[in-house]
Amino acid sequence: MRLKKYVALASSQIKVDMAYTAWYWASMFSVTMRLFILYFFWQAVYENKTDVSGISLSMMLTYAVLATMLDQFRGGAGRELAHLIKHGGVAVELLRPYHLLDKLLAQDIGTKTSTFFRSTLPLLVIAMLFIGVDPPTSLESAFAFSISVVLAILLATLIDLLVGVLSFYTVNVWGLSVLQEAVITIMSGAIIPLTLFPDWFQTISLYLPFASLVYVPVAIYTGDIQASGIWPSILIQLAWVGAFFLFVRLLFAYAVRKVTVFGG
Amino acid sequence: MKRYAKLYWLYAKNHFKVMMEYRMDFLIGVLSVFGQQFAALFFLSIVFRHIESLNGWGFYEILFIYGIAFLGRAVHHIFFDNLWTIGWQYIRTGNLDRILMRPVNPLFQIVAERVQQDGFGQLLIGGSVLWLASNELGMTWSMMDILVLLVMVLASGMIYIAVNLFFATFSFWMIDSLPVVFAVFSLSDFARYPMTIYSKVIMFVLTYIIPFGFTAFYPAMYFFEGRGFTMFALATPLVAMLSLVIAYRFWLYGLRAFASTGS
Amino acid sequence: MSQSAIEVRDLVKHYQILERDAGLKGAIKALFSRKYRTKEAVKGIDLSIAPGERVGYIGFNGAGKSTTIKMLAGVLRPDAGSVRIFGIDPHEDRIQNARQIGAVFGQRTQLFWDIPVRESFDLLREIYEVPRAEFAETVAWFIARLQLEPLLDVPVRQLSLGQKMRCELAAAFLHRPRVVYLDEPTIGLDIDIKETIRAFIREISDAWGTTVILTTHDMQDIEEVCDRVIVLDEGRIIYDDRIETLKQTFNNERTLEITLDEGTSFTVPPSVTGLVTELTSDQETDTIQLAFNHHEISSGQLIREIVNCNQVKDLSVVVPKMETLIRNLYQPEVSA
Repeated sequence: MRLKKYVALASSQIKVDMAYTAWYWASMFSVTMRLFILYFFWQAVYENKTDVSGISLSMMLTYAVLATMLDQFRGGAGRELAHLIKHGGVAVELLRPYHLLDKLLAQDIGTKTSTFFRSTLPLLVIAMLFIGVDPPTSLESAFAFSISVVLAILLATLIDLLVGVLSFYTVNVWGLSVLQEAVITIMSGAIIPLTLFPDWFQTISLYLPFASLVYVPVAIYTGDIQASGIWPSILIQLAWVGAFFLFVRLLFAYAVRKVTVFGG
Repeated sequence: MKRYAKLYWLYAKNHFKVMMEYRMDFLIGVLSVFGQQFAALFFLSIVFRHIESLNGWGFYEILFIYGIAFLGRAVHHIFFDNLWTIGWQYIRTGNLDRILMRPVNPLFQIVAERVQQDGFGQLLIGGSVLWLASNELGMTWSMMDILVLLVMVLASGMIYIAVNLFFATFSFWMIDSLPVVFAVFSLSDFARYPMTIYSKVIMFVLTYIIPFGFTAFYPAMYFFEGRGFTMFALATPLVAMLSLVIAYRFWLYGLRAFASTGS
Repeated sequence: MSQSAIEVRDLVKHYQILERDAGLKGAIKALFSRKYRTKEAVKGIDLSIAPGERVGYIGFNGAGKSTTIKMLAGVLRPDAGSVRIFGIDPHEDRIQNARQIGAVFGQRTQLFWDIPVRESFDLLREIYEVPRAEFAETVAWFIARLQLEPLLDVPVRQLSLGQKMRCELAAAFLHRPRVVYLDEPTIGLDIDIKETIRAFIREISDAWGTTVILTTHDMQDIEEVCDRVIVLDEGRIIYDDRIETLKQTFNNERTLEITLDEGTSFTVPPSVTGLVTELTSDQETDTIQLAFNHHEISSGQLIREIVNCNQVKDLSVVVPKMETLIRNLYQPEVSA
C-alpha cells in the first residue's frame, strides 16, 4: 500500500528527467570524451607491457568504462535535502503523510533509473563499439555484479543523504560536500582500481565504505575480485548499506526532534 | 586605456571587499579546486608506480605539462570567469541591456564584474607542480626562459578565454549556450596529457580546430630538448592572439545580431 | 531652431517569432524546418520631443513601448526609420549616446548587487567620468531629497523595494544625463515613496532641464510628473498631446450617481431623455448611475431636472479619471 506511493513518486521523477535538453547532449558528449581520454591513456600505459599489477589492458579498459558509468550515480538526494533545509521547505515536508527520507530515496531512484536508460546504456554502447568492453568472467560474476551494482548505488545515495542530513547541524555543509567528493572519487576506485594503490592504502580502504561504491562491483565483473572473494565483498556492501541506512535515519530523527523542540 | 585600467581596479577592489565577507565560500572554492586537482595528480602518481614511461614520456615531464595547463586555466578562471555566465546572467535576465546603456565596452563590463579569487589557489598549485617537475627534470631557468614561460602561460590562458568567449557568443541565438561551452571544454582535458598518445584525428582537432593543444602540450615542448614540436611551441603566442581575434570578432557579430533581433 | 532632444522618424521594428506546433511531434518538426512568423512591434512612429519635456509614454502590454524605449536607448537596432537623441544615433554611436542618457528599468538594477550603495555610486562616477567636485554636490543633493543617508552603507541586495527604487533613481540621474528613461519606476511601491519619487523627478528635471520619458501603468504618475502624454497602441501612436488638452478634449463625459429615498423609483425627466444613458441601477440600494456629456447639458442643469422629478437622497458628479480618458482613446464612446 505504502510502496505504491513511493513508486508513484519515483515514476513522476522519471517523466521529469525525460526531457531531451541541450544539457543531455552536453553531458553525453563530455562523458564520452572522458572515456576516450581514458582509452588513449591506458593504451599508452600498456604500450610496452601486457599487464599492470595483474590486470590486462582489456580488463583495465573495461574497469575504466564501468567505473566511469557507476560514478555518475553519486549525488542527488542529499543535495535535495540540503536545499530543502536551507530554504525552509523541509517544514512543509515534515507535515506530509510519508517519511521524507523515503520520499527522497524514491525520487532519487526514479532519477537514477531514467539516467540509466537515457545516458548509461547509450554510453555503454559507444564504449563497446569504440573502446572494447570485456564480457563478465562468468555467469556467477555477472549475477553478483548486478546485485553489487544496486548495493553500490544505494550506498552512494545514502552517503549523499548523510551529507544532506548534516546540513541540519551545520550551516556550511557545502565545504564538507565538496571535500567528500574528491576524497570519495579517489577512495572508491572510480579513477583507478584499488589494487594499484600502495598496500597501506589498500588496508585502510578495507575499513572504509568507499571501496563498496565503485571498486567492489566493477572488480567483481572484471574478475579482479576472484570467485572466493565475491560473496564476502557483497556481504560487506550490504553491511555498509544497512549501517548507513540506520545512521542516516537516526541522525534525521534526532535532528527533526531538535528542530521541532527548539522551533527551527 | 588608462581609464579602463582605473575602472578595472575599482571593480576589483569591490570584489575583494565582497570576498572578505564571503570568506567561507572563498575557502570552499579553494578546497574544491584543490580537491579536483589533487585527484588528478594522485591518479598520475599511482599509475607511475607501475610503469616507467607513458608513450615515452616520464612522470615529471607529464607533470610539467599539467603545470602549464593548471596555470593557464587559473588565468582564465581568475579574471574571465564571468564569460560562463553570459547566457543565464546577462542575456536571459535582460541585464545585457543595462550594460549596453553605459558608455563602456560591454565585454569589459561583463568580464570586470567578476573576479574569482579562489583561482589564486589554482595558480599556487600549478606553480608548485611546475616548480617540482622542473627540479626533478633538472631544468635550468635563464631570465629569457622565465619570460617565455610567462608568455606561454598567458597565451594558454588566452586560448581558454578565446574558446570560452567564442562558444558563449552562441547565447545570442540560444539564450544560454552554457551546455555547448561545457561540452567544448570537456575537450580541454585532452590537453593534460602528451598529445602523442592520441590518434591523428584528435591531434588535428586539438591543434587546428579547437586549439587546446596550445594550452599545455605545445608550449611545454619549448622547454624540453629533443622532443620536437618546436615550431608548434613557438607558434603558441600567435595561435593565442589569433584565437582571441576570431573570438572577439564573433562576439561583436553576435552583439550586432542581438541588437537586430532583440530578446 | 534649437535641437530637439528626441527626434524619431518612421521607426519600424519587427520580431521574428518561431512558430512551433505543440507536443513532441512539434519539437521534432522544429529541428528540421523553422517556420517564422513576423510580429510587427513598432509600425512606423514619429516623435519629436523638446529638451526638458516630461513625457508619459503609455499603452497596453505588448503595444511596443519597451521596444521603442530600447531603440531610443540604443540597445535595439531599428528595422527602418531613424532615431536621433540630441543629434546622435543611439545605436551607431552607442557609447557617445550612453554618456547622455540614464535609465531606471523597473525590476532590473543599475546598481551593483553585492556592494554598498555608496560604492555603487562611486563606480558609476568613474564609468560616466563625472568630475569629483560636481559629483559630490549632486550626491549630497540626492541624498537629501531621497533620504538615502541610512542606505549608503547597505549592499543593494539587502534593500527593500522602496529603498532600492530610490537608489536606482539617484543612480539614473547622477551623471546629469540629458535624457532619462524611466520604466515603471513606482511599481509596487507604497504611496509615500511614490510621492517622494515623483517630487524628485520633477525637481531634478526642472533644475537641470532633463528630458524625461516615463513609462508606467500608474496614471497618477503621469498626472503628477508629465506635461505631455503619448499613447501607443499595437505599434502605432494614437495620441500625442499635452495633458491639459487630453483632459479638455475627452473630459466631456461625466457620471451622475444618484441615491434615492427608500422605496421610491426613478423616472427620467422628459427634458433630458436623449441626453443621458443609464449605466447601472440597483433596486436594493436604490442607486442609479447616469452618463452624460457635460457639453450637451451642464451638471447643474441635469441635477435640477432630476431633483425636480425624483426623491433624491444623495448624489455626486464623478469626473472621469485619467484611466477612463486613456481608455476612451482606444474606444471613443464620446465624440471629441
